[in-house]
Amino acid sequence: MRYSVKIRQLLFAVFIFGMLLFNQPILGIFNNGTIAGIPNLLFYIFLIWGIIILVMALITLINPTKTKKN
Amino acid sequence: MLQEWLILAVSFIYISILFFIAYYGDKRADEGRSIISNPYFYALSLAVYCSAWTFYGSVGHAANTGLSFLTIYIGPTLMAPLWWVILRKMIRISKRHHITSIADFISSRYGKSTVLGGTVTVIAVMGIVPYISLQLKAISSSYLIISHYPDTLAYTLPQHIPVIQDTAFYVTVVLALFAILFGTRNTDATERHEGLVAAIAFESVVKLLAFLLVGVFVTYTLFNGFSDIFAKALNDGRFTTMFNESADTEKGSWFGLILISMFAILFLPRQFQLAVVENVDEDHIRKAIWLFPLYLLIINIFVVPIAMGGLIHFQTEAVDADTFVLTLPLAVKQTGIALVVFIGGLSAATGMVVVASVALSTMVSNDLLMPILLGSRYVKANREQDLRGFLLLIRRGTIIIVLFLGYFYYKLVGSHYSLVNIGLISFAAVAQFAPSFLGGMFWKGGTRYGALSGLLSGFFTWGYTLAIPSLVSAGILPESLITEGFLGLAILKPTALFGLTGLDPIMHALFWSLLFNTGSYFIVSIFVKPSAIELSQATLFVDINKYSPEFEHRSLGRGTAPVAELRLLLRRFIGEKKSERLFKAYARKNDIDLESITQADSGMINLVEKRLSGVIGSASARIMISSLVKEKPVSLDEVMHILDETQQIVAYSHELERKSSELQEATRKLKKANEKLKTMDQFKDDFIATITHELRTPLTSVRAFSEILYDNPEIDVLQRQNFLGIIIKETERLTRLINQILDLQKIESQEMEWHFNTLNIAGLIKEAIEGMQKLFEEKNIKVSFNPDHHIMVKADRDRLLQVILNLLSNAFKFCNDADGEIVISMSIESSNLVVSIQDNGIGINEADQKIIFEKFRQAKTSSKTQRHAGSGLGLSIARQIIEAHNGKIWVESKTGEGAVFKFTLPNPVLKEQEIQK
Amino acid sequence: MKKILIVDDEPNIVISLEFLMAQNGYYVRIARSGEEALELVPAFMPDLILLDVMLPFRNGFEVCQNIRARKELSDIKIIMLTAKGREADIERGKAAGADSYVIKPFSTKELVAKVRELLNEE
Repeated sequence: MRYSVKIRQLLFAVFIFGMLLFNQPILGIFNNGTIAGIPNLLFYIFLIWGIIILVMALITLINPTKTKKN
Repeated sequence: MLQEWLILAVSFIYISILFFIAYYGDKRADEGRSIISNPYFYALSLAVYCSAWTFYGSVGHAANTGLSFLTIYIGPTLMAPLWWVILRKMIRISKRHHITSIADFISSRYGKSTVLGGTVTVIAVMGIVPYISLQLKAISSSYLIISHYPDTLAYTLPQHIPVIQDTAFYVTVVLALFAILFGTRNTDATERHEGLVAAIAFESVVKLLAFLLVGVFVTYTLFNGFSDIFAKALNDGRFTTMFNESADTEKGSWFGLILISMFAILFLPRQFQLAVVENVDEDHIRKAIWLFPLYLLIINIFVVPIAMGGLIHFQTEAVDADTFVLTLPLAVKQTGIALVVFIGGLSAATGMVVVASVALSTMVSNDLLMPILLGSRYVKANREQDLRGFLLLIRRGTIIIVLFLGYFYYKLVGSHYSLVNIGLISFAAVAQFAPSFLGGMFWKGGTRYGALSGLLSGFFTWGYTLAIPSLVSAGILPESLITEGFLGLAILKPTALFGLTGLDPIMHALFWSLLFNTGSYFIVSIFVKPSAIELSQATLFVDINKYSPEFEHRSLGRGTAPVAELRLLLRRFIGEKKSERLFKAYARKNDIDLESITQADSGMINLVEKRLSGVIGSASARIMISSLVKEKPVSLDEVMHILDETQQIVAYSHELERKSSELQEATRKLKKANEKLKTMDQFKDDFIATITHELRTPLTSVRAFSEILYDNPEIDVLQRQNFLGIIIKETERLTRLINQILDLQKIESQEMEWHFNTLNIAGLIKEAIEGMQKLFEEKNIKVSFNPDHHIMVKADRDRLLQVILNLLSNAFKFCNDADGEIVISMSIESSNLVVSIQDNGIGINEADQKIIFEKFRQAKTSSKTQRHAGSGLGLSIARQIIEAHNGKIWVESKTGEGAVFKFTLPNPVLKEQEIQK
Repeated sequence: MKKILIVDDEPNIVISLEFLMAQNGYYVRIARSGEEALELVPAFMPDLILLDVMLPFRNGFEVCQNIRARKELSDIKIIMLTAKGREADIERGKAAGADSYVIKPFSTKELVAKVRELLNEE
């Protein structure tokens, strides 16, 4: 049961961070310029998006064997 | 050249494949060998979220307004982590209560209310019909473009096509057929539609691959990769503000769009259908949490490049950006790619339409029509009639009605709006479910009237601020309504309600509707008392994990009903076979003889009601059951009492579970402690054995020589002196050993008295050297110690001297015999005094460097040397003393290159005065 | 003249043993470690070895086993000397193939008697 609480808390943290990272004022930082020919804002959004997916994948890997029992 | 027959043939083949997959999926499900029961199918089926809006509309939106289209996919990505709690609970509640739609969920939660179920159904239909029409529009316009190629790409939909020539009409018919075949095979809506889900998952793959194909084609064939497109786009003055979201955020719409799409992923009827009703195993959520956002990310990678590519390629040509995906390949005569894109768009649109129409038809039949029809004289009069056919007829009829409502909306309004705008109007409608749905799931205080007033106020505001303006711009309602306001009142202008301006229409509508909705939900809930059934449902929903299904069946009884009547009732809706199976299972479980009893207990009544809920919705099921049951009026107190009791039972069993796991934990700890004790015991055993050895060794010499001298009085004087000398030395060794053991014991048991004084460390070292001077000279060892400064430290003088002497005698013992050299130095490093004593002896190998500070451990040294005299306690004591001074002691060495023993003492004070040399 | 090898790393014990054995008419040689003992044994071919257990690197048990594993050395008698008097140690010594086991500190008379007995004198 404890691992489930841990996953829940970590995922909630992902939600909060995602909300902050995908909104103003952070987005405003990337309004101009390009990275590797790609506009900053576009690059930033896809980067954060990918990171969030990766983090969620890692979090949900926590102790997958025990789930059947609960 | 694309012949019309070719397009039709390919479309026909594609649709046939879908039919085959759905048929195969159903067949496998019937055989009990499900193909969709894995998280990958689950995540793919959720991707029904990406409809034609995504496939065609995202590019259009990106070309017209920049990056805000991404919010529609960021929202669900951010909701995904919350699925762990929210979606899981939705699934649990729905499975337990046989809930088959959002309308049923809300109705059941607030006391199985028919009015609420009907309201939710009406909102859902009004909200989703435009969305369905959007898909039909996408299919027919893409068909027109691809079939008119190469005439013109800037093809706009003709305003009036006769129905008989309209592609959208035929598409609607085919989709209705598909939805009927695979969405209404069975009357029991809780039985999953596995074939349907398999087909949807397949469509998700097709649309993704098609979109990636056109994306790669545009990016790498029309242009030279991402940077080329963006370089050209940024050179073109038109696009500079496109990668800049400030314009959107000023109106608050960026955040608003994220919020609205977070609700959409939960409450769109098609999402609820696939995520909750069709869910096979709630643990599939675990993988879907990241797989589904990953799908969204991948399908969005090429949206902006295609949008930019289209704008650059067509320049001023009047080509609708919504069609770029299709028109870009056509513009360079890539008809093959265009055909694939057309199929991709077809899959995106059909997936949405089929699932949405099945979901809506369940709602309309169970929560809108059933409560009315079941009360009708016809149904009541024919008590024995099997109603399954009747039910299916209604379901199938509703599918056709819903689809053709979409078709007519498309004919009426569809051509005036872009894909995205229609989609957002639907999103705003389903967002109205959020307060009463989420509130109902997590807050027991929400009541029927609260939910009803919230839904109605939100819905009316939505209709007034969004639906009416859309009808105005379609020319159905007069323009003056927008410009002057309802009844000419400026304060009631639909797009600037109460004078609120500066928001875009969607955000404006969302703000007001959610404000009224949430506000009245909470206020009315707080002020209007709930009825007994509302209260019990509230508790059963919110505390779903605290009740086990068996307790629910038994405890929430409301009197009795004739068994025969119940059997008859259930048989009418699920057929004789299934009905009898259910009754027999219940009888077996509860030790009841079905044939002998006449009155059903509350458990049986509840079971029948639940089962019936899955078929006709919870509100209708309750109506049917109520007509049979002689209900005892149940007071609020009684309900609470019953709920408390069952909760206690469950709590008790939870407690037992907890206790037993605690017991296990304790056993485990005990075992561990026992093992530790065992190793400690082993350690003590070794310790005693070593001490014994160390004591017996000198004793052996003492005894042996004493006996020799005793037995041989004639021994010569020189030898006698020699032997006596050995006896004395060995006795001293014994004394020293005993003292060391006592020292160690004192320090370890913390009985040692420490006398800390400020000492001149250089003086102390000199004193130690002087004490051993004679030994050094005997062995011809060079000792050098040349400090520059006096350094003062706080330490116990005698103990520290003991340490230094021990280290010196160690160095002495291990020094080379021929040219022994000991170098002592001191320094201050990061506010610690470091004293080092270096010898040029045999050195200590790495493995031994740590253990020599342990009790009775001597380095094994190198092969040719023998064991060195000494108890093996000296360094251990030195370490204890230095650690008592908050210092550290260690050795640095390599075998054969001598050893440097170092220890630190904290807080040294450097005296400015230099030492005279 | 029978030959005895003394193997011990405690210099004073070696001196006492050497004196005792020489006094009783044995020819004595000394090894201060297990290695040294194993090198010496085939060349010296002692009749009896007084073998300490706690030796650096190769303890007495190993040395004893090593000697017992070689057929040509099977006639050599071995007395193990140990300052550890635990039952387990004695068992181990016997298992390693020692003829006798003497606990330190020992009675010089008894030790001499045991040596004689093993060498079949008296």
